[in-house]
Amino acid sequence: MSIVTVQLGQCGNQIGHEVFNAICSDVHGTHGLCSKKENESYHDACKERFFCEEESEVPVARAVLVDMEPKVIGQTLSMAARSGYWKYGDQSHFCQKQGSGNNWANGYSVHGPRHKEVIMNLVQKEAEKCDRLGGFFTIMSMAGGTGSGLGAYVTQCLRDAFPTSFILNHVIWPYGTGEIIVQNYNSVLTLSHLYQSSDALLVHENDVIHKICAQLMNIKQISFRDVNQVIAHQLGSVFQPTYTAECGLHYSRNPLGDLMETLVPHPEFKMLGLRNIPQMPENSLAYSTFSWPGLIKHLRQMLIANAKMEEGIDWQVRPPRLGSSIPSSHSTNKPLQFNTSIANLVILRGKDMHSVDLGSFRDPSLYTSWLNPQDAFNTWKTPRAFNKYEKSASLVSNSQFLLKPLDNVVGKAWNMFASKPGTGALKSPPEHLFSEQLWHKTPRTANTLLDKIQVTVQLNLKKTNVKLYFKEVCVLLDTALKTAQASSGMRFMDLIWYKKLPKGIELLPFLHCFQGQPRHSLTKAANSSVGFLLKPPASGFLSHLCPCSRSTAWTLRQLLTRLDVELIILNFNYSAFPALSVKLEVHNGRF
Amino acid sequence: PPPPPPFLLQSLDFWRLLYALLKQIHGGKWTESDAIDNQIRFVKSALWYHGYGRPELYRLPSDGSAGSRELLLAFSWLLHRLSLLEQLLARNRVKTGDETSVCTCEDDLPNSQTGTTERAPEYGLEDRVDVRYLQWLNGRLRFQWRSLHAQHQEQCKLLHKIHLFTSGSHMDQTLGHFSVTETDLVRQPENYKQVKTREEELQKEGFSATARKIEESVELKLLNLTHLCAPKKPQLHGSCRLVYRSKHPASKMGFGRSVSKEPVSAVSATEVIRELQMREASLERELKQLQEECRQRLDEIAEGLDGVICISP
Repeated sequence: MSIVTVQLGQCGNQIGHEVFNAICSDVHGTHGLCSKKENESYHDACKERFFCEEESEVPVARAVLVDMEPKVIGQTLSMAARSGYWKYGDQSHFCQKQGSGNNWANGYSVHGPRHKEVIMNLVQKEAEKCDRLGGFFTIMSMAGGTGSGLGAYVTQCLRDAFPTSFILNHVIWPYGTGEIIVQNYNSVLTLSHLYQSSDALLVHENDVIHKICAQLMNIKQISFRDVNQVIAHQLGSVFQPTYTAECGLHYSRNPLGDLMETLVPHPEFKMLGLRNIPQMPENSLAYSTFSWPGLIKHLRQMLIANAKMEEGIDWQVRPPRLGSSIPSSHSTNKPLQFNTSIANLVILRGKDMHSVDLGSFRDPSLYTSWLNPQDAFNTWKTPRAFNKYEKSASLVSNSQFLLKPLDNVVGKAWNMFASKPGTGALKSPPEHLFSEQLWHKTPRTANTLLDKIQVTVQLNLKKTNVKLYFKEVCVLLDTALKTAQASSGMRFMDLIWYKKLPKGIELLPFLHCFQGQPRHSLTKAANSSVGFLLKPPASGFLSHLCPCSRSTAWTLRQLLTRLDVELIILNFNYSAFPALSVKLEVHNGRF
Repeated sequence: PPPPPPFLLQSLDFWRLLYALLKQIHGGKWTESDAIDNQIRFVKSALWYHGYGRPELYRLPSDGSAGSRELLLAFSWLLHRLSLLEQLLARNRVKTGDETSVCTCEDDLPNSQTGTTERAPEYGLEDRVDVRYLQWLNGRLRFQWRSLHAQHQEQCKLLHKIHLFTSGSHMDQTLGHFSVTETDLVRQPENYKQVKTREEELQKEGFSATARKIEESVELKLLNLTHLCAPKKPQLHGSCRLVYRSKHPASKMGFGRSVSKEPVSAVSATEVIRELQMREASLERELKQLQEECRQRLDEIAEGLDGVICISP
């Protein structure tokens, strides 16, 4: 069972290279701490998974390298070849000369379609070499132009060409204070598109890894190489061979499928986080001893307190007692600290792993109400130690951990968008809300392809039967967005999109209940929130709002698939006006 | 009074016999201790699964007190339709060829049992299932199906390799290449000693002769029946040996030519694929129609709800 890795953009290629390095050095290391037979099985399983034996003695990574500029790919190829342990295929890469300029639409709408055939040919060749294609693993960053835009496009192509394959996207979440000005736009657009075609998104946050490098690895001058090596170690700890629960006789031959089945079968919750323990500089390893109970205890607290590493964990955070009411946070504005999970997967590697007690992870209060720990919790194990750590545990988690970062990114994207020239009207909501405008042409910006259209919604509190069918609006905006290709000279971000509402379009605000209380009347709406009952595109079910910690509750998926459109429509400033306002808050209260 | 028909089993015993046989076919172990109504329920559901459409059988009481005639009919149907005897024998035999099963039968199950308008049963609060859990389970099923699909593809790939690499080696020219078992037999003949001994044992008992006799007489009886019934379009159904044929013009056997020596006519993969694609297309149409109906119903419901914005796909 083989995984084909697709490395996209600068970040994707650099990380991919470190991943294969980490895997290879783990396999060739002499610190397996297990029997020779075990070691051989591990070796064989790993080989089949990631490498292809060709006529050359050195195994060839099952990978396709894509970038719109040649420098990084060139470096990656030569570094791999120099290692002497493995290399990339000679014909497995594709690059261009001009780059993407950090422009998402450039990657998605220009490079993507232009180079689709060549790239997919490379992928097809790699797939055919596998006796059994176990799925695709793509690596990309969200902030740039190639990884994000082209990456989203390639993922879509993979889905179209391999409808029954497993697709896992490894996504790098940019630094909060990152250098790319439009990184928040890029991120939002990437996430929303990936959500459609991908089975799961495995997220690594740059800020988090940076902290690990600084505090755990004691690195003074942190380079991208250091960050990438930590990421590679964490990924290796998940994807190196293990025994799954069902079959303890041989190493699993379906790691991606097993991962998907245990963590992301629900189509709306696809974001996965990764934690690994212990992490320390290599030269400290010899002087450290580990105990499984200690490791597990820390890992569990890292999960529920949403800590990213084993230092600085908030031990005060406790799971809520089952049966008691969830504390009302809308009045006190105190954020709920506890990180609820949908599903968790713990992977144990090393000595004495069969004796480990994982009962604390099976506590139902860790999980959402509609899933019991039997379904929600799984473990994989192997006695073979990983990368010189005598004992190590990894946690792959489908939980609320990304809500805050997502909130940040969306908020920043929105603020940036709302402050663009021409959107001044949005800043003063009352006039904005109660005026009505028609098509409005502003030739000032350098966009000649499309008109700027202004959206204004007429809302009147008294009239409760004001309705807006987002369907029409969303569809229209979507089409408009797509036709605005970022052709030469035109930056996608300069285009400001609004849409005039056709006659008969109405907005129906909906106030949901807090903790079972009856709906507030509209006049008391001052500090309550507004939510929407949505029909998810694929499943066709009506999603109910679940009052949890926060007010507005979009499911993550609806939000992400609609973000590029909704950003535009929903700028209603909520708290200030008794008149109707809605702040778009990103919280997945549906847990 | 007419003499009782020969070989009339008591209904109860007949049910038990069918239970034992069907359980084995379905790979399960049968136990005497299973209550009779469970056994009957199993037999009925197995018959339904295989497409037995005669309502009189399903109406038989679950204490096993009546119905020997119906059971006899069902039994003979099983013998013919399922090749029951062959399946039972096959469970213990060494398969020399690479087998695959084919089924292009139309779904001709009678659906008069359920009304066309189904009403959701009234659930109490305790019986409610969270729809998100159902979505979870559905997702798991889909992933498992994908894994199975990948496994099948791997099997195809490996079979192809073996067939390709052993081309021209088989004594039987109509086959041309080895199957997996035959390849293994050649490489490790010592593993197959028990096949020889088993063969000798059976010949001593004359078992195969008896089995053939039974089958022949049933075949004959059914042939008589088919003459009385309207002719049905022949459907491809059952197990076949998988044989790899290249399109090489020099080969004696063309693509899809049936071979005179074999009792089962050969059929080409392309034919089967074509049939299945047609079925797929018609099922897709049906699915789209049902989805559209579903969407319309949801829209209707959403209209009635207060304060609701409905975004359809």
